[in-house]
Amino acid sequence: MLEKLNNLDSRWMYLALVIVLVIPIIKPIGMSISVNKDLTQRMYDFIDSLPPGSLIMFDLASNSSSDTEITPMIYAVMEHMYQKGHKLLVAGQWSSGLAFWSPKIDERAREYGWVYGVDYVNIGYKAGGTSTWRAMGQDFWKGAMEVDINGTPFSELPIMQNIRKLDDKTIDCIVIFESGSPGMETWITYFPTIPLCKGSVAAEISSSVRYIPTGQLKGLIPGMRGAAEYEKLVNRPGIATQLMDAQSMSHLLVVALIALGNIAYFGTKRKMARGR
Amino acid sequence: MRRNVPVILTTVTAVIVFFSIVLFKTADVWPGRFDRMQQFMAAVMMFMGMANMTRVHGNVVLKKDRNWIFSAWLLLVMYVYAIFGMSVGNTNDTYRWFYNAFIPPVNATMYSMVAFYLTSASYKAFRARTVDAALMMACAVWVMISNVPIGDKLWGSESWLGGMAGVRDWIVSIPNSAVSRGISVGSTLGAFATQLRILLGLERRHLGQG
Amino acid sequence: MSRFLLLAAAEAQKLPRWGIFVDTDGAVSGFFTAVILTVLTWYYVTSARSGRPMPEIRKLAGLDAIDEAVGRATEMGRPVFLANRTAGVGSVHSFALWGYMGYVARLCAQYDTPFVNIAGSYLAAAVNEGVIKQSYLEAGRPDAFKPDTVRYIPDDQWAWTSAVAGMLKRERPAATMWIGYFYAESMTLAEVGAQIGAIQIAATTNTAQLPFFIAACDYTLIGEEEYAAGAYLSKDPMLTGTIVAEDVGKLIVLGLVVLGAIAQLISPENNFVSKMLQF
Repeated sequence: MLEKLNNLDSRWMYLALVIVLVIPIIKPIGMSISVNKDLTQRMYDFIDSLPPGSLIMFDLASNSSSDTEITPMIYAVMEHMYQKGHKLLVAGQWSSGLAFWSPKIDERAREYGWVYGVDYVNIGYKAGGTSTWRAMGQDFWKGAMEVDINGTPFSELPIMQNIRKLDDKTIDCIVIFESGSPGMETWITYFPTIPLCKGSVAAEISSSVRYIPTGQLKGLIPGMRGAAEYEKLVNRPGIATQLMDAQSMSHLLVVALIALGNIAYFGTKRKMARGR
Repeated sequence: MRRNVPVILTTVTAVIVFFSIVLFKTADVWPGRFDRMQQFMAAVMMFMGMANMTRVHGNVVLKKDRNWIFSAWLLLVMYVYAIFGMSVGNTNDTYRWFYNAFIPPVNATMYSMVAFYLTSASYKAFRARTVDAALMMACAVWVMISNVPIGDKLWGSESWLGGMAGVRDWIVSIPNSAVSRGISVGSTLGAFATQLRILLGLERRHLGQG
Repeated sequence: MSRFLLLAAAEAQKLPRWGIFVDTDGAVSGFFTAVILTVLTWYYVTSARSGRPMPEIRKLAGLDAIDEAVGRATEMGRPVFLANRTAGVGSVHSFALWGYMGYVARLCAQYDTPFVNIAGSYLAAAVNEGVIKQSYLEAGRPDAFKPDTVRYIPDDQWAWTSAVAGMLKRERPAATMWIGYFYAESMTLAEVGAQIGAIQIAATTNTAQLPFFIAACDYTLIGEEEYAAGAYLSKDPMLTGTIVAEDVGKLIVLGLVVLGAIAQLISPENNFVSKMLQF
């Protein structure tokens, strides 16, 4: 029995995981969540402290595979910006990220009554990696080829008249939604003076946290749990809050499996020792 | 000649970029030029990649190798979608619909597989075989429990030491950050040493030299 | 007036440091750090060249295990996989990867074991082909190189991962090596590799992915160990000299950390180490 448990077929674990994920989605439990003071609260406070009308740049450095984690973060930060009256510049280091989230951002912007080219703008994907961003640091218009995502010249967009350089005098904060590379290193290395916040997928949290005490990150939304916390802070519960039950249950399952694995391991070991 | 020219080119470019970035007067003149060259090469590279895939997968299809149908499908999707995108533009609704209807669900499926693999890996790996393994397991279990509301119920965040979440934050912010920084310092020095080996021409494997 | 003063202050800040260095934090200290490390490397490489004894570098189990992994693949008649998704030709990870690649490809050629490299960058794939061909040539087996030894799969994270996971399941390599910077795909790759019973060696500097590799791989090289492979495996004293220089550099950093911590305790407002490094 213990040997069997020790070498438990992975498929049983996968089945258990499906069950604990699906049940809370169908029938939510409504578990409460607390806000992480070191990470999520810090980011909320920083964006809250910016004067109304500040320009925040989104860097979509992720793709659709991180939809469940990143989308609620984007919505929660946009809600906060709406409440504070900030302006938005959408850009992205990943072409797939812009292709995926641009329509979603447009939809939310319409709900808020934001006027394109006045309250927000989307410059689209610009090829060339860090060299392109550095070129924008010299001259934003030239570096970004002077057109937005729809091919509209910057000269026809009122918001772009004040965006001439990618620097701390123009951009009040960059919020990067990241799940890989290229990511925040671009901003930390080449634009260290622009305040940076990050929405991170759960797998990358541990390597991002160290930038908080140094001030290189002003705040961090840690995974879907962080998105749910931000939703709580802006008082608009969304998909992340709904999915927290499922995530919590899956964590408990993993803890239970670890316990089971150890029982099986030590049980088998003891049995073998007795057998000798 | 074949041995030395690439090494000289590498060294000269690196020295120019390094001094241009550090020294005030020459900043952004030469690095900017190299950046533009790189931008151009990035665009050309995409077509080279397409040509390579056509050659490799085209051969598979022509020879009817094992799983040739996948290669044929790859070539069909690549060319049809690229030509369609170039003709209607990347903001076209139909073009976007194809992307949004196929790529996100497939991507999300693959990403969500991580949760399953993580579960089975945790079952096998987190066993208290040694003191180190026990410590790693204890930290993992602690962080996971403190991430769920039960953690708050067991030891509330308003109580001593900030409760389970307080200890979790300490684990993540202090020991984790310290180790992570230590590894980063080592990695940076390792990367620097590797770059010096390339600069000094000691590392030549990429030039087809042993 | 205040606006004018602010503008004037901003302009004044643009003055070069020491008359020649850019006005950015760490410009001068960064310059001297680079100079010190270069001098150290030059010193140890010259020492090695003139035959002076080099300090021993510690053993790395993950690198010593490569021979065992290739040997096992030979016995089982199954291939050896070596893969990286993100590194392009300019990336330092690629240069580290080529160190492993050259060594493993030569071993595989000697033992007549199939070797497969999967690359995520087209240009890197082209260089990989050159490196592997050279290794086959050095082993005296240029004929053993097959056209599908280097496989290019565009680096879209999950497309690449699913393709590699599929190859692992179909071709069941006896040994897999995941070298370079990996993201969330690390868990999928390592766990699929573990499920097919392959000996797995991973090397990455991404601290966020290390736990996944440690959980599912037999050997994991952490941080700078990834870069040491080329020098360690070649046993060339001159290359080893660069690792010794790197370790001396690490000792200097350690000294600065201790000094900085003491200075912070004594005078938090006026930490001279921190100021020196920011200059």
